Amino acid sequence: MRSLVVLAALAALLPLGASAVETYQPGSADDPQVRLARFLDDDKRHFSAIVELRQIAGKTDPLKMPAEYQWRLADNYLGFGMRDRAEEIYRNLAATAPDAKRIGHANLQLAEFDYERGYNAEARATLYRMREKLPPELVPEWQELLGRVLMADGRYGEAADALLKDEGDKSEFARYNLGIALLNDGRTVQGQTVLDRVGTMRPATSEDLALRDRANLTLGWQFLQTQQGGTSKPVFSRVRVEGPFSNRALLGLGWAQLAPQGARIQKAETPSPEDQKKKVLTSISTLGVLIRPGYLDQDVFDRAGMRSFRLNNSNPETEAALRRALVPWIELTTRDPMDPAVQEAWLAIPYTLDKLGAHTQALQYYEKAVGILENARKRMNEAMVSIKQGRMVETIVRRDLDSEAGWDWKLHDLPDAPETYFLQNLLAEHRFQEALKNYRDVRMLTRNVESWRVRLDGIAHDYIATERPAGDADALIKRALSDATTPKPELKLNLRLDPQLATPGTYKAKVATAPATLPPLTLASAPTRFNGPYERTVALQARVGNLREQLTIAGTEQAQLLQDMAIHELEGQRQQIERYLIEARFALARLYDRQSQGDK
Amino acid sequence: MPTTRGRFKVLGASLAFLLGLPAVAATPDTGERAIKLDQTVQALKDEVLEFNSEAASAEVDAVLPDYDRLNVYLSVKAGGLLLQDVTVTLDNHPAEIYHYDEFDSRAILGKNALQRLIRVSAEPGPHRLRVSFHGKFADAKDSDPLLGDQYEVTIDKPAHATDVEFIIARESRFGGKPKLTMKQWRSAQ
Repeated sequence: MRSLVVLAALAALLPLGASAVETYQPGSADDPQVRLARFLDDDKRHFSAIVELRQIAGKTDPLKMPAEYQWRLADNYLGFGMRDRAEEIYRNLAATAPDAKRIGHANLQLAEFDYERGYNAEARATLYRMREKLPPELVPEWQELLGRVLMADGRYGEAADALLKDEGDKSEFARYNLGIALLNDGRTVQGQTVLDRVGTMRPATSEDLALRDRANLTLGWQFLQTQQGGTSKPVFSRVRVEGPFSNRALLGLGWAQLAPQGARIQKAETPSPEDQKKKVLTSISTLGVLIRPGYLDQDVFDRAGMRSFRLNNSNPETEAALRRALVPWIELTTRDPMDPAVQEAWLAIPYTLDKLGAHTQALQYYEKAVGILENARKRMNEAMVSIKQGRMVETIVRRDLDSEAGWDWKLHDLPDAPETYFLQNLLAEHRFQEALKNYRDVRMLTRNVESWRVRLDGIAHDYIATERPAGDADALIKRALSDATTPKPELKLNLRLDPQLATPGTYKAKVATAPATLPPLTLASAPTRFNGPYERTVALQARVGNLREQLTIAGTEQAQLLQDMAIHELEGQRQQIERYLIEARFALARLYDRQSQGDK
Repeated sequence: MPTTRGRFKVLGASLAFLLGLPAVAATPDTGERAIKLDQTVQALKDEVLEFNSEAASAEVDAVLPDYDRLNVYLSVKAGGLLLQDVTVTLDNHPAEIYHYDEFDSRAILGKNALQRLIRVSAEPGPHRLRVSFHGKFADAKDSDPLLGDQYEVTIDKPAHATDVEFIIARESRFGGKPKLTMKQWRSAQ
C-alpha cells in the first residue's frame, strides 16, 4: 500500500510528456508573443508591444507576416502615434483581409488621428476613400467625423450638407456640430432650430449635460448678437448654475435683459420625429432659479448693498430691465475673478448702476473692478514668467512620464501651477494636447535610451568579465539533432560515390575510373566579422549618443512650441484684461469729472 | 462706460469663441511647426523602436540563449475576474509576485491576451513551476472573500526556447470557481 502512495506521488511530479505541447506558427493568433502584444496594447503599453512584435518578424517584412500579427502591429503603431507605419499596414490588410468592419474601424481611427494632429487633408482623403466600402453600422461615426474635419477647414457649408444627409441615427454631438456648421454657413434659422433641439434634449450622462449647456450657451449668445434678447433669456436659463458654461451664461443672461427684445422666432423644419415626445427638463437646477421673483432678487441686492438707489426720469420698464440685469451679474461677482466672464460682470454692474442713477455705488464698483483687474493682470504676468522659465510643460507631464500610451494618453488632472487656470481652454484643444503627447513621448524615449545605455554597458562588461568554457562540439551537434526531424524515417538510404554516370542501358561493363580524390581539408581562417551578442551590443552602444542628441533637440523644439502656444493664449487674455482696465479707468474718470462739475 | 457698440463687440468676441471662428486660431506658424515636429517625432520613434528591438534581441541572446530560455505566461478566461496578485516560483528560486492595478487587471481579460510573468534561464531538463493567484469578480462585494488557486507542475524543458501558459478559467463553462490549468507551447519553425 505504501509503495502505491509513493508511486502516485511520483506520477504527479513526472515531467509532462511531449504530447502536451501545442505548436504555433510565429506571428499567428496563437503565438504567445502576439498574444502578449494584445495584453500590452490593452494596457496602453504600445511601445513595448511594438518591440515584441518586431522581434517576432526579425528581418521578415511585416507585410508578409500573418494577418493577426499585422493587425496587432498596426493598432499599436497608431496607438503610439506612428500613423504612417499604421496606414501602410492597414492598406495592405484592406487589400488582403476580408474583414470590412475591422478595416472600416481602423480607417476611422486613422482619420481621427489625422484630424486631431492637424493633418486635415489626409483625414479628408481617408474618409472619402473609405466611403465606398464602409459598412452601414459605421456610417454615423464616419459622417460625424467628416463633419468635424470639414469644419476644421472652415468648409461649413459642406460640413452641414454632410451632416444633414439622413444616414442612420445621429448622436447629439453630431447634431451640435450640425447646428454650428449651419450658423456659420449663414443658415441661421435652421442652425438655431438644431441647437435648440440639442439644448432641450433629455441628458443621460454628464457629457450630455455639458453638451446641452454648451448648445444653450451658443444659441443664447447667437440670439443676443442678432438682437433677440427676449428669445435668448429662456435659452440662457437652461444652462446649469454650476458648470463649465455657467459663468458665460450668467453674463449673457444679464445682457439679455438690456438687449433689444426682438420679434418671435420662427422655427425651421424639424425633421426629427422625437420632437413631439420631448419635454424640457425641469428637475435640474438652472439659471431660472436666479430670477424667481421675490426670492433671489432681494437677496442678491442685499448682498450687494444696493437698496438705496432709484432711477430718475426714466420709464419703469427700462429701470426694471436694468435691475433684472444686475441679478445674474451680482451672482457672478461671487465667483472666480480670473474668469473673463466674471471680469466683464465687474464692469457691467457699475455701468448699470450708473444708468440707474446710483452714481456713488457705480464709482465704488468701478474702483473694485480696477482692483480685481489689476490683480488678474499681476497673476497673468506671473503665469507668463512661469511659462517662459519652461516649468509649465514639465509640470504637466511629470506625473505620467513613463506611460507608453502615445496617442492614447490623456491628461487626467491639471497641476496646481499659476498658469494652469489661464490655460484651461488651450489645454482642451487638440493642437495643444497632441503637441503635449509628442513632448511626453520624446521624454519617454529619452529615458528609454538612457536606460539601455546602462543595460548595454552591463551586457558588454559581463560578456568580457565572464569566463566561458570552450564549447563542446559533440554536445552542440547532439542538441541540434535532438530537435531535428528526419523527412522519411522509413527509408534506409545508403549513399556511395558514383562520379561517372552513363545513360541507363548504354554500358555493359564497369567503367574504369581513377580513384576519387578528396580535396585536402585545411583549417579556415577566423571570420573577419562576427556578429554575436557582444559585437551587436558594442555596435548598439555606439548608436546611443546619436539617438540621445536627436531626442534632446526634438524635446527642446517641442517644449518651445508648447511654450509659444501658451504665451500666445495668455497674451490674448492679458490684452482683454488691459482693455477692461482701460474701460474701467475711463469710466471712473468720467464719473469723477461729472462729480467735480456737479453734474448728477 | 460701455457703449452699445462696445457691448456688442464683446458679444461678438464671445460668440466667435463659442462658434470656433478664427478669433482663437493658432498663430500661423504654430500649426506648420506642429506638423513638421510631429513628422520628426514619428521618424525618431521608428529609430528608437528599431534600436530597442535590436538591443532586446542582443540582450536576450547574451543573457538568455535560445536553448535555456523559459517563458512563463498567464491568461485569464474567467470573464470579469479582476486579479489582485499572481505569484510564480521556479524550482528553489525566490518567488516573483506581480501586483495588478485597475488597468492591467482589465487588460489581461482581453480576448486571447497573454501576460508574460517571467522570462528566465533554465537548463534543459526537469523544472518545478508553482503558480498561484488571488482576485475577485468585478461584481463581488467588498466583504466577499478573495478567490484563488494554485498549480504545481514539473516540466521537462527541452533544449530550445520553451513557452508555458498558465490559464485561469472557471471550473466549467456553466460556472464554478476559477481554477488554474497549464499548457505548453512550441514554435512550429
